[in-house]
Amino acid sequence: MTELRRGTIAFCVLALLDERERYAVELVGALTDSQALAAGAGTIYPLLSRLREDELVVTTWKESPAGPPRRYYRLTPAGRRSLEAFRGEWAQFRDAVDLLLTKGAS
Amino acid sequence: MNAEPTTTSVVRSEPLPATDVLIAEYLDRLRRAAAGLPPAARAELLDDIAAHLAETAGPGADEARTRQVLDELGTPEEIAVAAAAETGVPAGAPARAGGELAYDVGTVLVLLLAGFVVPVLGWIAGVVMLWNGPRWSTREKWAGTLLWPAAILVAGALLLLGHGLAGGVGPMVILLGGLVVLAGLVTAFTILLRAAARRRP
Repeated sequence: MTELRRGTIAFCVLALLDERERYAVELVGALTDSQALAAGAGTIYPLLSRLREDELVVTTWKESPAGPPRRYYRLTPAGRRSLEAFRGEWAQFRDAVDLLLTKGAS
Repeated sequence: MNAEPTTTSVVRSEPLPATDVLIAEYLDRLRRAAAGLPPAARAELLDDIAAHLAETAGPGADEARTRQVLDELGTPEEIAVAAAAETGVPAGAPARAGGELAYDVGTVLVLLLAGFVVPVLGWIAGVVMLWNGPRWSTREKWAGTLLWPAAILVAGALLLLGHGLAGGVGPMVILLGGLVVLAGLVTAFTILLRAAARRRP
């Protein structure tokens, strides 16, 4: 289950960045609020590093109104394509699993 | 925790030392838990977590707030495990990706150049590496194998043709033809490298 979650959370991050660029603490907050992140919030950082290595996101440092500078994450065209592909696959997969699960229940 | 407040004069609005100690201990645990990561990944993880703490439990945060932030982050060990899983994607140790790149580039270089160092045998070694490479299709393997023979045939034909032609035209034909053959070789080997790169994890 953790594997499934981890793989899926990556796309939740991409989806959040599809709206606008965000800094890490913001991302963590949004994921925690949505209850999608079952693991500790710190586990998001290795994920963000990987997304950056895979060039699905890019980062820029910006000054913050108060406190240390923040690293902002932004979607790349490749990240957007990856997200779009996942959206389609996810919808299919979710429907298929739902169908099987409800069949099993009845 | 065991430090009793000695005098009331030390009570100030500065962050309590206890919060600094909590954070330092947490980062230290993370440093040890992440010891197995590649150095760059480990350094980045520590930087990211330290920045997160500076942002969420910066100056002014009291001990309760700091504990809450650390609690939300999860244990250092949990984060290190997640980091190991990410750097290892999709299979095995992080060093493997480098090994695969080295194999693909090495194969193409041997195929392209080893024939100059050890005639024929060097080229055969490249062909063997090519056919053992897991990231080329059979078509690409055949193309890679036939490249040099084809180039030599074309070059040979050009030479004969060049000698046959009268006057100053011959050397020109040989030179231009040679450049075309060279460009063809470089293009073909670039295509082989790109094909392998697409299939590398």
